Amino acid sequence: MAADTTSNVLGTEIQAYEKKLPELEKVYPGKFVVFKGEEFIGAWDTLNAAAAEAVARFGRGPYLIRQVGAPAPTLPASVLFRQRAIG
Amino acid sequence: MPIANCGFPPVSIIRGSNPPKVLSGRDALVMKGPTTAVEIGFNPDLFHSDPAVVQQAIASAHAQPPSQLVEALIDTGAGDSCIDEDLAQQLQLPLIDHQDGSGIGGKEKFNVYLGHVRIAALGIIQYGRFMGVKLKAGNQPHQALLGRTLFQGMLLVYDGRDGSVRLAV
Repeated sequence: MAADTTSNVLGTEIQAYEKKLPELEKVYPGKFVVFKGEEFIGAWDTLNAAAAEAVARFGRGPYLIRQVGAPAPTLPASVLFRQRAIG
Repeated sequence: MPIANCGFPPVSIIRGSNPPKVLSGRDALVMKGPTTAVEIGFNPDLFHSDPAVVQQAIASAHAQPPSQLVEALIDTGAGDSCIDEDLAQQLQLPLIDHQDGSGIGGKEKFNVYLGHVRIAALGIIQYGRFMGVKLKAGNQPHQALLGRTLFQGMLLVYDGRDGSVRLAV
């Protein structure tokens, strides 16, 4: 679904996040964490706060902002049904 | 109190129909869903830690004519918001995640973008994250789907009897 051109852009950040995940789950459950390259930048209570710090330091990025422990995103039903109807 | 009309007029003529075909507002609402015009973009100042800078950026955004309005579905069935993948790249929204998610054929990869959405009729700006989805290629009539997280603090009145929908802050 996502464009191939961007699929590897955050590879380093995601790898660093997954490596640190056991610790993040213990110390920062539910927080929004930011990674830039392999570096863990910090954890915040809200997406807005995490984004504010990330944008201030790194502009348009790329950087990873992810909520620790959040479930994987689900495509809205309105999109699913339409695409199934087309297919 | 600013109010955005996100429904449809009681009667409208279907564009391009010959002879002209009439569509009722209630049918239009069923077909398309609550729809509003929004501007989506990214202004770093809106994410600034200094509230004064944020206020200035908001005032500046309101003072300028919208660069590009797109139709967005008010999707109360979705928690998160979506944007057309091609539009997100065109707008150069910051990429903030690339996640596995549940899609049409099971697990899929989605880009996640950071951006702001300005609801033109209400003159308000919210920011948040958007999942990149091939909406246009999938024949979705909207270029963005706005999920519930964007509507905290708002009032939505849906009248399926006449096709009217009103959104207020």
